[in-house]
Amino acid sequence: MIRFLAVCLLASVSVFAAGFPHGSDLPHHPGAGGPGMLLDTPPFTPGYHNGEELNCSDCHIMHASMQHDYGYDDEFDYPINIIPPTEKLLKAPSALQLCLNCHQDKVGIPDVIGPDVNGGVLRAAGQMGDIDAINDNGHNLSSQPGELCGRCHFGGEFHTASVTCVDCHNPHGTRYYRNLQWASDPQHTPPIVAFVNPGASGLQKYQQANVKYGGPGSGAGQPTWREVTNICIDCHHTLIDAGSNGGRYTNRDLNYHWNRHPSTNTEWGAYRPISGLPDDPAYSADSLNWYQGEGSEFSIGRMPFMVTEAHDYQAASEVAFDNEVICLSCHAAHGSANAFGLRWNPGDDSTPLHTAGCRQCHNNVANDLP
Amino acid sequence: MKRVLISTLALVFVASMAAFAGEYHMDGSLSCYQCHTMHYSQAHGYGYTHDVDFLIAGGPYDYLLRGPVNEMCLECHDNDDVIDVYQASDVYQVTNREAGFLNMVGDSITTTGHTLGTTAAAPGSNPTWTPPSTTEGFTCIDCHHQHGSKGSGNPDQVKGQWRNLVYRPGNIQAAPYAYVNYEESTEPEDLTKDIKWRASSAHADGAYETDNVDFYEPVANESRYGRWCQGCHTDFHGNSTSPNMHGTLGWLRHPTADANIGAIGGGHSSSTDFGSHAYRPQVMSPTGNWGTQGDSTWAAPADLTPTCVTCHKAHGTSQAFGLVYMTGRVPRSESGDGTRTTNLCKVCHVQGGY
Repeated sequence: MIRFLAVCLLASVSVFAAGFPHGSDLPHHPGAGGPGMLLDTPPFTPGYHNGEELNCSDCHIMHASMQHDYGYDDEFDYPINIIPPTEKLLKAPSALQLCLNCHQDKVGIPDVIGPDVNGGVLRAAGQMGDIDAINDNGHNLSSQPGELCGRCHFGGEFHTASVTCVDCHNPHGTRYYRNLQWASDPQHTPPIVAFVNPGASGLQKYQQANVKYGGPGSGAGQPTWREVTNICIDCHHTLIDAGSNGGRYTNRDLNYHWNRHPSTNTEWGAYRPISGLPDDPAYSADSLNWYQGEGSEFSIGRMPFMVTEAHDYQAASEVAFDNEVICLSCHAAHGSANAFGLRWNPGDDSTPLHTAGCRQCHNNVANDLP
Repeated sequence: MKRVLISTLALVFVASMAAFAGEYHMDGSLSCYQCHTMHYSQAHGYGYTHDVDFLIAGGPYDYLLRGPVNEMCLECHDNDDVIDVYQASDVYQVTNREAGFLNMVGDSITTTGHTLGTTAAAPGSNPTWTPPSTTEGFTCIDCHHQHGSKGSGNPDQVKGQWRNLVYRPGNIQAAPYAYVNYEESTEPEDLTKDIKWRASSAHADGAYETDNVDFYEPVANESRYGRWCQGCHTDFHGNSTSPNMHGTLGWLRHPTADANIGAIGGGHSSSTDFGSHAYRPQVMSPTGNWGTQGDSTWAAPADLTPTCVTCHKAHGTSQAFGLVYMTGRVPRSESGDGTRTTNLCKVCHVQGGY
């Protein structure tokens, strides 16, 4: 008993002597081989809308008229007459309606609108709201979102800007994660990779519990594959900065006191580990709490995180002090049932829970909570 | 006297050529008795070549016919020693029929091409076109002229229409009519024709083989074959100036004329990809350059254009919509070696990087 108490005392003293573990004081996450490790783009098994699972007839109709199907169940009701015919020979009046013909309330197909018809617990991308409506809980979804830049600039604004599925997803496949693409430059999108539990099958592959995130490291010569949230910056570029300590959008005076919450963007060389930046004098996160993963704030599940240089699902699953914060750490890509598409309910009546997402990394500012 | 004899012989030769030029069932090869019976009673044949003596029960019939149109045509054109147009070719030896094969009302599957006997409106017809015979429904003579009429304005007044096609199909009941002309194997190359036929008569070996038919493109933004189909399938054909086909941003329906393979570039169609397929569907060429089937090193020219028959067989196949699900990697067949329509799309298209 005496030896146990001594060990506990020593451990406590060492933690408080060093402060919360952060920055260069910490070892890298267990799955990393160290900075500068060169790894190719991780292998990825393409999903639907790729290769042999890219079916032209799923989405296109040659003559805007079909009296019957092709002899297999393709989720459409026949006869189909598209009046007037649509550009790109689409099998619906708009790309959005086309996508939702399969991806809304169809059993056996990923459901992206509202509650999951397939009964999933938590979809990795969350859920979209109503079509052609302002959605305070995620992206606004529209069949006619307009020219990309003009949605937010030159008269457009963030709150009303809307998206359509094919802004972010390439309908002809990219061979990589969820067929994600840069909305502004689809053809030059680098491989976008996330890791799906190899043990998951069917719609389980779309559950958050079976999706982990990785990204390339910061060393010279790293391959150009990118983390999932690389596509976010196409539109949300004022929420992210390059550089080791932010910039004009997120930390304009470079004093380590962030003006906007930091998040990792490997394309711009911005790495934002929970453990803080090397030599950060204002480090205020709680990487120990994150690492330990205890407390009521984890009752909502651990927020998604990114592991640099992770090359497979297992490595990307490793919890470490220096796990990276990414957009998806707090937000579901499509949206959620919560404001801003947050992964927890900031309006929860329970004080511990309405800050749960914050406290996983910042519990040091809320020590009086259970 | 000698000059008279030579002139006479020359005239006879020309006359005989004219009589046998063109398709069967026209001019010199049009035999009235093959389809008509004077008294709906015939105890024996005439003793001629290509003789017939059948009478279909239920007569006598209008126009002194031997039977209802489709049944009568199929008496010879199904399960006999002439081109078989209904389902499998049972007797007539053919590898890959250019027009494929028909189905019929009552068959277990009627979604794989043109359906004899149907009374349904033609898809895409505008105004709506339905078979004129409400009792017999869709018949062979809705597309093929039983007497091989050329039409007085037909540019080819010798051979007339390809395959005896009517020149007033469907809704095209006034000029300009739908003429489809062809070049026989005995004739010099003629880029003003619509079809190159590597046979000299309907009785020649391979007369109905796909490999012996190719399509010229005499006018860059037209397909006269496509326009013929348009007689019934009105909205499915046109060119880039046709509002039913092309919008402000691009095609609204798959082009059947006026769109060269690979012209847009990028991730659309690709003439390089097309040429890299050893076996290719039929496309229109303004120069008569279709490459050689089996050659995957062919540098396809940039002026090839798809039309209706690029994807569909006129009569039908065993695939939906009479499509040919061909991968382009093995020799062509009537219905294709693939399992889905995407196989065919990818012979020209490279979307998705394939």
